[in-house]
Amino acid sequence: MADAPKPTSVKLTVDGKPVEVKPGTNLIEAAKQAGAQIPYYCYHPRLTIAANCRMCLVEVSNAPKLVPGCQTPVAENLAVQTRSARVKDAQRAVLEFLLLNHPVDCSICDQAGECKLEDYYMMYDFKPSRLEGGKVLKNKRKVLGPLVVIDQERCILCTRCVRFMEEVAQDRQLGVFGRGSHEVVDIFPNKPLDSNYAGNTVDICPVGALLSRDFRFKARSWFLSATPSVCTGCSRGCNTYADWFNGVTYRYRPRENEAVNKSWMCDQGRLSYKSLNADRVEDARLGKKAEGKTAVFEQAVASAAEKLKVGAANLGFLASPVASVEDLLAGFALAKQLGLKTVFVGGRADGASDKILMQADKNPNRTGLTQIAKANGFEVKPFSALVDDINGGKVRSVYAVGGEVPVGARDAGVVFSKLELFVASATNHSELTDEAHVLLPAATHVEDHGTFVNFEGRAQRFVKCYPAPGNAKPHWQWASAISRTLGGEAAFKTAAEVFAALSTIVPELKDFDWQKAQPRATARKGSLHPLSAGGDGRPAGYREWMEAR
Amino acid sequence: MREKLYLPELIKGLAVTTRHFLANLFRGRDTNPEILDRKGGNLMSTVSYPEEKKPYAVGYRGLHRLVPREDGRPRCVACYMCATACPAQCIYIEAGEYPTAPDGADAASAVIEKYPVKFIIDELRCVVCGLCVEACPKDAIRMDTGTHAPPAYERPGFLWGIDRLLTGPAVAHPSDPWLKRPDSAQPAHGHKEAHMRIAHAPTPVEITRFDKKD
Ligand code: SF4
Ligand code: SF4
Ligand code: SF4
Ligand code: SF4
Ligand code: FES
Repeated sequence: MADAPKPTSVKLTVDGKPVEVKPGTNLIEAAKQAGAQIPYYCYHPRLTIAANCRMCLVEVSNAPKLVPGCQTPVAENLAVQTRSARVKDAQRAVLEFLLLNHPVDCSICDQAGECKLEDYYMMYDFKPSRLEGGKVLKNKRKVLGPLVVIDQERCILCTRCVRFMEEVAQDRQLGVFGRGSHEVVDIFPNKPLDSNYAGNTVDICPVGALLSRDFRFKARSWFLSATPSVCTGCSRGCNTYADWFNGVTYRYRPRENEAVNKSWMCDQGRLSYKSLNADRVEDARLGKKAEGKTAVFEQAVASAAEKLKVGAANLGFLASPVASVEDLLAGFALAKQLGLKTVFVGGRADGASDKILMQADKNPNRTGLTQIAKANGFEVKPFSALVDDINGGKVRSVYAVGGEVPVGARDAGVVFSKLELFVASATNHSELTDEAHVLLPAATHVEDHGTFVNFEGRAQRFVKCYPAPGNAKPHWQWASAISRTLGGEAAFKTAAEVFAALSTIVPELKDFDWQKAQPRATARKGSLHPLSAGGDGRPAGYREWMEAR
Repeated sequence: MREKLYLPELIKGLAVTTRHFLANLFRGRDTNPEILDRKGGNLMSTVSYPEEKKPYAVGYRGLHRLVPREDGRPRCVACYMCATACPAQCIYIEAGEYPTAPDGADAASAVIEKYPVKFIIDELRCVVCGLCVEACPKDAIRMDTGTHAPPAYERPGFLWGIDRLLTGPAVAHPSDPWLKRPDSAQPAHGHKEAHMRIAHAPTPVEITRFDKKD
């Protein structure tokens, strides 16, 4: 008996539809596979099961009472009813109960538009309140920590946040206090919610109880478009959504990827979107900051090419691992054309790491840079070597792809001010870019398509959200244009050419299909579909901006 | 033939003109804006605005106003419902947060965390559809002023901000949160207070005593 082989699949029916799932699957997941929907609040596929919200009650053939679908594993020949009269009744009752003391201040609440209470109320309840008298009053806005504020009245005590802090962030900073309708989620006295993963509790809170102090009241969720992207905060390359509107990124949210970041991301990466909006280089500049003049694309390219031709003899090539694989590919092609054998690696300095997601290397694409350098036969040298060479007079001109440097921008600026020629394509102004003789405005990763290779060697695509501000162009476009002006053969003319070259030039990316690797949420047929009018308040054409390719 | 006929017609026409002229000159003018109800002998059937004004219909959608609360601050909580509903996209809002601590801000506003830092309506773009009024969950925007946007010489003159929009009588609803609690912190007896507020005065209950007769 004991040796009977374990079954590899279980057959059951959901609303009369047969479905075959792995043993141990819970009813919510089984129903999903059968195309049925069981509503839930407290269940989260990556947290332990608490079964305290009771929203997922369903009728099953092997139990006399309704059972919580999140906690009940499938059984052979089980018949599950998700829309029977009894279930509907239970769903309605649960929602009525959850909304009993809920303040329903959706017009103030930042969760409005992405709130499970709103959604499920419209789907399953749709009844006026029977509450007589006032609701229980709790704390409306208690600051829990640097990133999170709570409205205890809105909380439905699903304990997702508490479980998350304990199980994923491994830092018990939240707890449930009190009893009955006086129960609240709170921090322990004098212990703020300051974990580097606290932001995730905001994402998983199904209602507007936990809100991000950074994002709160900045934008309404229904105006935002979410584009699949990759976080550039460290070399983990957490999959994200960039939520943006009208050419401004408002927040990052983690995007599920079992292999990289599960459903989470750290707060340091979460806040890194700010550099996308801050002090951007929007126009090409000829001459240092003090006496610089803005220039159009052709002027800037011509000037850079002409100067590089003269200064090629003692040129240093500085590549930033914050730039994408595509940017670096084009940059390295230019370096090769100029007869270089060495590249210097800039990028952000190392920082803190932890055992959960965060890596010490704060650059998203160091692996990609190393791979391309190797493929092109370049010797890779650290930034300190470039500083030594400039100070020693060996390097008198520099071409930089990306303005990020591991030392302070001010210190680097002092060193770079000794150069006879400094051509830089950079995204943000800094003391270093002030020293550039030719400054080329570059696009960030949300403003172009591209790829990062994370520290494990996983190539990850990100897609364009909106056009770059001003006259900014991706690094690869600047490098290719300069290379073409100098008579280069391998200069890339279109994005498609860079992408096609990727898999042929870089051996590690041999099997990488650029088109296929595109995150599916936005992979759609056709090209640009500008909407003639934005009845929902968005400017015309800005809803799902996709570049025609 | 034609030459013969036009003279009587000419005189007829002149007679009409003369009659109107004399009537309007000497007979009194009734200024009742309801033209059909006019009694005077004057034959003029136009309303001579602005001396005579036709009253607008009940429910006329006039110039917007932002409704104040009793303390003078706007009822608006910057929820963007009006801006979302507006087909002309002429409402621009920037949301802000009242200070959390009771530093400076009075207690009433501390209950309301969100308020419009900027609230601008471009009255030139507005198509006067009233959808913004319908959409507002807080009864914070109304078109009950009974007037229309006054003329201006330049376009920016039609951009109405909070300073110009916030006019008219304050409006209060029994459900207003600032009537229920002094601030956003948890009241000492949140539940009890809530129940006590339902009945402002205890409902008198008639008690019948069944005294033992002996
Ligand atoms: S949590 Fe949801 S239902 Fe509650 S106030 Fe916020 S948006 Fe409304
Ligand atoms: S704060 Fe949100 S996630 Fe935490 S228990 Fe309350 S509703 Fe659940
Ligand atoms: S009346 Fe109509 S067009 Fe004018 S502001 Fe309101 S919603 Fe917009
Ligand atoms: S709908 Fe009402 S509360 Fe919301 S932003 Fe407009 S005026 Fe303010
Ligand atoms: S999701 Fe099953 S009880 Fe909450």
